[in-house]
Amino acid sequence: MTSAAELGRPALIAALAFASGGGVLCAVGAMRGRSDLTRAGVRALVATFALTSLATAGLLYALLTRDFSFEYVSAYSSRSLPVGYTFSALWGGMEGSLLFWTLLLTGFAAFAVRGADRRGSRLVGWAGAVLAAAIAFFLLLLVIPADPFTRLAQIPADGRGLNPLLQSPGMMIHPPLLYTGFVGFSIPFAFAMAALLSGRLDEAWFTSTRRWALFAWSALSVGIVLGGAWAYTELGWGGYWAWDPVENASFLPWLTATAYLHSVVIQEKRRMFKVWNISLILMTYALAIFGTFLTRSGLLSSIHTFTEGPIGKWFLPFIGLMLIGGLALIALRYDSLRSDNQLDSMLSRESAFLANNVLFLAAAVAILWGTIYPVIAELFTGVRLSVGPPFFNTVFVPTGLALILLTGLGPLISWRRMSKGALLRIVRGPLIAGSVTIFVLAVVGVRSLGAMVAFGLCAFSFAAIGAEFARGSGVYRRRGMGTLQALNETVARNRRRYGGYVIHLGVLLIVIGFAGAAFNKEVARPLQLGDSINIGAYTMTYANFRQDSTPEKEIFEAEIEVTRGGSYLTTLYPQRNVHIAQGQPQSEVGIRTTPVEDLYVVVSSVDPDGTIGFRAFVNPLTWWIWAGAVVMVLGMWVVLSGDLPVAVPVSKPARSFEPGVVKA
Amino acid sequence: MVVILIGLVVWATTRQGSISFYMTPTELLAAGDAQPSDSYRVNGEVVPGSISKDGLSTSFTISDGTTEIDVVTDRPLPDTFMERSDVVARGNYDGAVFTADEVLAKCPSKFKAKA
Repeated sequence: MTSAAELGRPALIAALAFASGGGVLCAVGAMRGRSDLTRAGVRALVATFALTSLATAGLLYALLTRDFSFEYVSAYSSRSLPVGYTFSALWGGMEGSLLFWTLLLTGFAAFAVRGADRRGSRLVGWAGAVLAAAIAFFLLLLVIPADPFTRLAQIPADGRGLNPLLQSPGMMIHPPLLYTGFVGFSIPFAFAMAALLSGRLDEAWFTSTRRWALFAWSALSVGIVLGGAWAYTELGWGGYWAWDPVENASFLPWLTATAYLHSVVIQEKRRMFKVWNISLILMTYALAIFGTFLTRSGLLSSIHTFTEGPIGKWFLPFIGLMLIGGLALIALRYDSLRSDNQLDSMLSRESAFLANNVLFLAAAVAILWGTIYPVIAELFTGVRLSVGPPFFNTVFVPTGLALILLTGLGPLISWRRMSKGALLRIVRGPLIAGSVTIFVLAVVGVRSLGAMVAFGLCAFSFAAIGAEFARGSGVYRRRGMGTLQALNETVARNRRRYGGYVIHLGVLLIVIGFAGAAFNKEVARPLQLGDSINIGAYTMTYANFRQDSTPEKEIFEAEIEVTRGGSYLTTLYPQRNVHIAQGQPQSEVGIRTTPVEDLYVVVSSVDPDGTIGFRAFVNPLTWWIWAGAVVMVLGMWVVLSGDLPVAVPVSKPARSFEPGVVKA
Repeated sequence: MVVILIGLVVWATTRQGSISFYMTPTELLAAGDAQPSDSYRVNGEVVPGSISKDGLSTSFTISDGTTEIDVVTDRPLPDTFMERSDVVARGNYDGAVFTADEVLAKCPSKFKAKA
């Protein structure tokens, strides 16, 4: 059978050729200072993107036309799969997800190097070469060990279908967002390496890729939260984060990237921390690739099962080469990367940023250690171990709380130095807010120390950020503007700074949601029709059930009447459905969500007589996690939608910027 | 700073439930009841026909192909738990029955293992 998808494999092979050729042209162009060669290399990268798009379109066509002669199509889709979720099948399997990754990488690379070339950036040659090398690696995977276009000798009548857990709207956007985040960090990484290779170690490498870094970080942040939201609403275990190795794999680069976004501000303002910044972006990219490796190598046991495919071993040399190459370059250029300034005082914005970085990195190191410890232990002692959530909570909660304190404190401290008296004056308000919060919580009988500290610190930082907004908008209010107009003007005039504060506010709200978990309640019991069960102030009665079936699944829906204090509150309809193709049961939870608390009910099993295995949770404040994420997205929009001009250095700039790269 | 970090990691490691032994049924049997009070994670496939329920309590047998171990739990089981599913049970072994505080079934998420 001929199909448009036949073009897929030749397109990938041609893309590999263009990427290799483009990489060589870019590198030679950069070495010889021949911009004509570099430009040809850039065009080759654009062609690589076009060819990869063609291959992706081919696979998508095969999926949409249900061409089960392709092994991939028969493994991850079926005739009854809705069209919308057929797109999810594109990244539902290993080969497809690698193709999707490569599509993003070639697209981002083409846009970034073309843009940089037009602005006349002198980093473009080396950046193009580094990106081409990464692209060639992934294309090589797609051509040799992970070919998405493998044909089957015998064509099955129907495919095996997509995992029902992935058939949810959240799962349509969660993987692409994570991939966008991971892949997006390739751009700042490539320009950092280009700065090292070319010896142009001014600020151009990060100012010209700042939008990419922010964009990648935003996508990764939203992707992680959506993953949690999906786990919460689809998996029916009442939680959203389990410190599973696969979750950690996405969180580790987020930690180092967050540290990076903060520490580049110091390099911009004070020309300090240069080695640190390059190292952070190297670490972020290495961790993003490491996460991909970890999830596909079968090295660690995870609740998320990925094919323990043959591609794991391909990643190790790639990561090794990248890390050794990156570190060797940093060592080589170490003398040019000296700080132009020294820390003036321990009590300064610089040291607050430094503390922020140390904390983020400490959290990353500890979590990385916990994640790979089982592998190390097995290597040395032969005993297989498993590291559980208590380890991760113990290392992360204190560092997280210290970071919450800094969220409020950092922006209050002035650059270079500040007197203790001035600091005390400025933190008085927030300190009162925090203390009052803890006092009130203690009086109303809250006994969880961790939660009290978390709420207190959040109150402190809310007050501090609020004060920043009040100070900023005060100028405009004195000119006669209304409060809202003045706030709007303040944010519009300095989007980066106030957008950052909005993101911080979102993070604080999320922390409130996390802290609420200290008060979670749970009950589990089999219920016969008419039985009642209590949790917290709620009484739930199993009033009725309904059965139905569709071509996709058999539906069982319980009707749970909820009363509080004797009066009717709501009715929840949790489902337990069996997907026919896979024979897999799936719970649809019933949730009544309010800012105060979620009532979350699950049918965990169904007996033939209608008796259900019933589980209910009361999760206080969980709503604030999702609300905080929305606020974060708002902040990201504020930052990304404006120009990102380079901030004015505090001391005189050591050198001027390249023309044309001032606006990122 | 490094000292604080190491201290924190060491402290976290010693906390209850932080680290548990991860074994197959064969390895668990070989370890015998030498450390009966320790927390284990045992990984295997649910033997078809072995699942039986009694109220909230479920018992089933998991196997690694050579050794079978009986598991009993009164905790709710995840959606992905069924015959032949690959599960990890966390709990204690008294030499005869593995009492699980938690049963996780690997979600065949994204990249389904080849059958």
